[in-house]
Amino acid sequence: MTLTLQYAVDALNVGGLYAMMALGIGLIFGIMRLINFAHGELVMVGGYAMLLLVQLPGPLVLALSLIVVIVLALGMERLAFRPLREAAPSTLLVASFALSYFLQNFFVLVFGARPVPFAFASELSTNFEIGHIRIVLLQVVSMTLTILALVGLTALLKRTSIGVQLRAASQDFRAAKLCGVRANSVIAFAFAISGSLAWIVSLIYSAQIGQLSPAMGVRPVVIGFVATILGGLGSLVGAVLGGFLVGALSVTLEATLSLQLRPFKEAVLFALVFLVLLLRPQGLIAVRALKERV
Amino acid sequence: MRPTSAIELDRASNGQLEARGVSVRFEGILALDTVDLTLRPGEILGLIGPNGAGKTTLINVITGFQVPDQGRITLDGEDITGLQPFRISRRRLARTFQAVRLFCDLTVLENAELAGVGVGLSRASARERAWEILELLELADLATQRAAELPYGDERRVGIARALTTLPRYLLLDEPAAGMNEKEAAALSRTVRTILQKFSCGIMVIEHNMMLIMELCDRIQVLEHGRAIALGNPAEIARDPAVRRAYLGAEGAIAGGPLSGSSASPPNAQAGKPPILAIDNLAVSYGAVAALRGVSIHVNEGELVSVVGPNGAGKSTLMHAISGTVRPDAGEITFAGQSISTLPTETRVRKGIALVPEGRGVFPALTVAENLLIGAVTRLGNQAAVRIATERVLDFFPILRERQGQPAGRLSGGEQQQLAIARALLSEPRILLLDEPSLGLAVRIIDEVYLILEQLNRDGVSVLVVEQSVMRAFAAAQRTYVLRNGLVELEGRPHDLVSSERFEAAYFGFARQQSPSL
Amino acid sequence: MRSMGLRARLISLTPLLALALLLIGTAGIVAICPPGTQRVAIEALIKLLVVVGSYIFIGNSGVLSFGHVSFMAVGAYVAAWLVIAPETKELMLPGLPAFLMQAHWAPAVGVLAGGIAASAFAFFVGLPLARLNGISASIGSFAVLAVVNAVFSNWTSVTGGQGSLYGLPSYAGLWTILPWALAALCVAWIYQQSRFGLRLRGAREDEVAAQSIGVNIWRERLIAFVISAFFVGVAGAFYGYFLGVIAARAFYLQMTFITIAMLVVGGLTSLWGAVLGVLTITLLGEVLRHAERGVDLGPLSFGAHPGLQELGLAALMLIILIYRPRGLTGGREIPVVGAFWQPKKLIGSRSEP
Repeated sequence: MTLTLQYAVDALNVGGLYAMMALGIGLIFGIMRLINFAHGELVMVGGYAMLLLVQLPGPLVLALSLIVVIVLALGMERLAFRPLREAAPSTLLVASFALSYFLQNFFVLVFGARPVPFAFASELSTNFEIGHIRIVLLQVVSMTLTILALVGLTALLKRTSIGVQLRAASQDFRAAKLCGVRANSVIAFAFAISGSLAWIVSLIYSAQIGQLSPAMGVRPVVIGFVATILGGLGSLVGAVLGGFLVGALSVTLEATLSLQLRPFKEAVLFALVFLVLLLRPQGLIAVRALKERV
Repeated sequence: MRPTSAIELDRASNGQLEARGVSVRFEGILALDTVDLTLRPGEILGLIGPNGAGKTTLINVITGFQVPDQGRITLDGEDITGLQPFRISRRRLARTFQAVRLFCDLTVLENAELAGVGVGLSRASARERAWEILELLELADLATQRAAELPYGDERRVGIARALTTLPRYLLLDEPAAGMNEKEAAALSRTVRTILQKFSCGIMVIEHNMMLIMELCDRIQVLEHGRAIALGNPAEIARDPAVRRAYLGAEGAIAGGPLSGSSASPPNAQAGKPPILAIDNLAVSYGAVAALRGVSIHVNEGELVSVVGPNGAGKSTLMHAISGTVRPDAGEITFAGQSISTLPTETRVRKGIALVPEGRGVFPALTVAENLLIGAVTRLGNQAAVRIATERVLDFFPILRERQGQPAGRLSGGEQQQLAIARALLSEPRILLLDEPSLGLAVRIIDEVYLILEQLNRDGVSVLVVEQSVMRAFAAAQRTYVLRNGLVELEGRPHDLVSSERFEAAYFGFARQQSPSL
Repeated sequence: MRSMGLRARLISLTPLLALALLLIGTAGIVAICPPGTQRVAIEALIKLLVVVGSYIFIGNSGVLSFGHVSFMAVGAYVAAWLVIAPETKELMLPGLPAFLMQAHWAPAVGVLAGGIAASAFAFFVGLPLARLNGISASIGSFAVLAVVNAVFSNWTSVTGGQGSLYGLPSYAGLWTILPWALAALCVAWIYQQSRFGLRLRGAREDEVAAQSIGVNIWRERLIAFVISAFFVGVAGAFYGYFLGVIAARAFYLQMTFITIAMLVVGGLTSLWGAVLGVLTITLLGEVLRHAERGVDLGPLSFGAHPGLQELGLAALMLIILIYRPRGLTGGREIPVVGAFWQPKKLIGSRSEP
C-alpha cells in the first residue's frame, strides 16, 4: 500500500512537470498548428539564465530569468514563426526543429557542450518522510508550483479578456479576426505564456538533475510532445491530462517492468504514441467536443 | 475514331449507373433523404438544386468518398456501395471536382497521363491516350505547361480531360462551368456534346448555370434539402412551380406580407450623402476561377441592401472581400470615405464593419457571455460602455440572457444566429454584413431574424445582407442587387423587381415563360 | 503510334546523366586529394545515399518522414552482426542468437543484407504508417525513430547498447560506395519516371483527386517506402564501416536533422535537389569546420568554436524555409528541358494525316 502511495506521489510529481511541458506545446499548437520543438530550448535557456544570474538575490534571479525566457519566446515567434504563419504544418515542424537545433548549438558555442553543474537552492534536495513515504522538498515545491501554474493559467484563460480571445482564436481564428481580435497580440500572448510555463519547468528540472547542458531541453520536449499527442492535439485539458498519464505510465512501467526491460520504457511510450495516431488520432483522453446543433 | 486510336470504345450500352434510396446523415441532419438517381450511357443528366441540397454529397456517395447510411449504388449491375474511390475509378466511373483539384506541380499532360496509369496502363500507353484526349478537348498546346500556371477556364477542361483518360462509361461533372463567362460556357457545352458523341458515356452534370443546364441536358433532376423533388426534361422542369419555389423561396409566406415595407424609403437615409460602403469594380479570383469579375455596389447610410443570386454567383466572395478575409485582384473598397482595401480584417472591424459569417462562426466551446466578450473586443478600453452595450444587446435578444452561461455549441441554429448578430453588434458597427443568415434555419426562426434586422435598420444601422432566399431578401431590403456569375446583372427596388421578367432572366439566365432554344 | 523516339528518350535522361557525371567527376577529383578530404567525401557519399534514399519516399509522396534514419540504424546493425568476427561478437554481444554469432560474411554482403533488412523493416512499419496523413505521418515516423533508438540503445546484449560496437571492417571507400550511389540515383530516377512514381506524385499533389482516378495511395506509399529504405539501409551499413564503431546515438536526432536539412535546402521534390542539398551542406559544413578551429584575420581572431557548423546549418535551413521554401532547385530537375520531353517535335514525325 505504501509502495503504491509512493508511486502515486512520484507519478503526480513527474506528471505535473510533463503536464506543463505539454501545456506549453499544446497552447501553441492550438492556435497556430505549430508543434514547437524549440520549446525545449526555452527550458534550457531558463536554466542557463539562472546560472548566469546566480550571484544576485533569489527573487531577482527568478524574475530576471523569467523575463529572459519570455523575451526569447516572443523573439522566436516574431523572427522565425511569423514569416511562416501561412505555411503547411510540416514546414512549421521542420522550422521549429531547425530553430531548436540552432539554439542548442548556439549555446554549445558559448558555453560548450559539456554539462555544467547547477546548484540552485540546494536545500530543496532534503528528504523527509510522511508515514513511510519519502518526499523530497523539491517535489513539494514542484507540485505547488505546478498547481499554482495550472490554477493561474485557468484563471488567465477564463477571466481575462486576452485569455478568452486566445481560446476563441484556437477554436476559429478566422471568426476571431472578424470580431476584431488582433492576431498578433493573441499569438504573442500565447508564446509569452508558453515561455512562462517553460520557465517553471526549467526551474524544477534543473534543480532535479543538478546540471545544465545545451541539449537538456530535448528530452522534456519530446516527452511533452508525447503527452500532447496522447491527450489529443489541440485540447488544453487533454494536454494536462496527457502529461499526468505519461507520468503515471512512466512510473508504472518503471515499477512493473523487470530490470532488464526497464530501459525500454521509452520504447513503450513511443509505441503507444504510434498506436494512438493510428487508432485514435483525437487522443486517448476523450474530452468530448461539444456537439454543435446546426 | 481512327482504328489505330489508343481509345477503344465499349459499344455495349446495356447497363446503367443507379443510386437507390441513398440517405446520408451528418450529425443529426439528413443531408440526403432516400434519393434515387439513374444515369444511362449516352444521355446527359442534369442535377440541380439550391445551396445545401446535397448534390455534391450525392456525387461523393456514388464515387465512394462518402459512405451512405442507407441505400445502394449499382454500376452496370455490380453493387459498388462503400467501395473505396480508387476501386470505383477502375470500374470506369469518373468524376471532376468543384474545386478542380489538378496536380499543380505536374504538367497538363502528366495530369491526364496519371489517370491512365491510375487505371493500370503503362506510362507509354497512358501518354498516348492522354494525348488523344487532350487533342479532342483542344488542350494539346498546353500539354507541357505546369497545371498551376494555367489560364482561366482551361483548368476545368484539363480536369475533364483527366477524368476522361480513364475512359469512363459514366462521367460525373461537378460544376464544370463555374467561373466561366458566356462564351466559355458555350464552348464547354460543345465539348460535353463532343465527349458524349465520342465516348457514348452517361454524363451527369451538376450546375448552377441554368442556361447551360437547360440547353445541354436530356433530363434534369432537382434536389432540395436532400430530397429529390422533380425529375423530367428541361421544359417540364422550367415550368415546375416546386422548382421555382425551391430556388426563390415561397412568395407570401412571410410575416407582414410580401414586400410590405420595401417600397418606402429607408427610414434614415439622407439624400446627397456619399454611400457608407462603396465597392468599385471588384475582381476576386481563387486560383484560376474568377469569382467576382468587376462588381460595383454601394450601400447608403441607413439603408438595408440585399444581394441575391444563384450559387456560384460570388455572394460569399463579396462578403469575404469586404471583411478582408480575401484579397481582391482589382477594384476598390471604400468605407466612410476611406479606402480600406489594404487594411487587415481586425482594423476594418475597428473602423465599424462587422460581418456575421456564413455558418454563424460562434465559438462553440466558449459560453454565450464569452462570445459576447469577444464581440466587444474592439472597445476594451471602455468597460462601462461595454457593459451598457452588452445589457442592451441582451435586452434585444432575451434568449441569450437566459443562456448566458451555456457553451455556444449547445445552442440551436436560430439561437446561434442571434448570438452571432448580437456579437457583431457589440463592436458598434456602422454597417452590419450578413452572409446567408437564413441558411439552415426554420422558417419561423428566419422570420424572427429578419424582424431583428429590420429593427436594427430602423435604429440607424446600415445593413448589407447576402441571401439565397430571394423572397426573404426582397421583403426586407430597400434595394437589391442580383449577382450572377461574378457580375451584377440587375439592381433596383424589390418592389419593382419582384414580378419582372428581367429579374428571372438576371437570376437564372433566362426567363421562365420563354423556353430556351434547344 | 506516338511513342518516344530515341532522341527524346535521351533528352529526358539528361538530368540523370548530368547527375551521374557530376558524381563521377567529383569522385575523380577527390581521389587525388589528401586523405582528409577523401574522408569528408566518403562521409558525404554515405549521406548522399541516405538523402537520395529518403527522397525516393519523401520527395515523391510529399510526406515528411522523420524516421528514415531508423533504417540506417537497422542497416548498420544487421551488417555489423553479419560481418564482425565471431570472436569479437562473443565478447561484445553475448545475447546474439547462434546463427548471427557464427556469421562471418564479407563486408559487401553485409551491405546488401543491411539494405534488405531495412526494406523488410520498412515494409512492416510502413503497413500502418502509410495510412497516416500529413502531420500525423510525420509524428508517427518520429515515433518509429524513437522506438528504434530506444531499443538499440538499451538492448545491450545484442547491440552493445550505449557503448560502442567495434570490430567493423574498413570497407567504406570512395570506389566501393560510388557504385551504390550511382545505383541509388538510377533507381530513384527510374522510379520517379515510372507509373508508380507518377501515381505517388499525384497523391502528393492532391490525395482526393488521385483517388478519384484510381490511385491506391496506401499501396503506392508502401512501395516507395520499402524501396527508399533499401538505400538508406545500405548507407547505414557503410556508415558503420566508415566509423569503425557504432553507437545507437549516431542514428538519431543529429543525423535526422542533417539529412532533412539537405533535402529541404536542395529542394524536397527533385532528385537534383537531393544531390545539390548534400553538396551544398557538405561544402558549407567544411567551410564552417575550418572556421570552428579558429581563424586568424589580423586584428580579429576567432578562437576555436565548436558547434559553429551546426549553427550555420540550422540558420541556413531557417532562411531557406522562410524565403525559398522550395529549396535551391525550386523542386525542379536540372536542366529543366530534360524533365519534360517536347511532344510537339514528334507531331511532325507522324505519318498519318
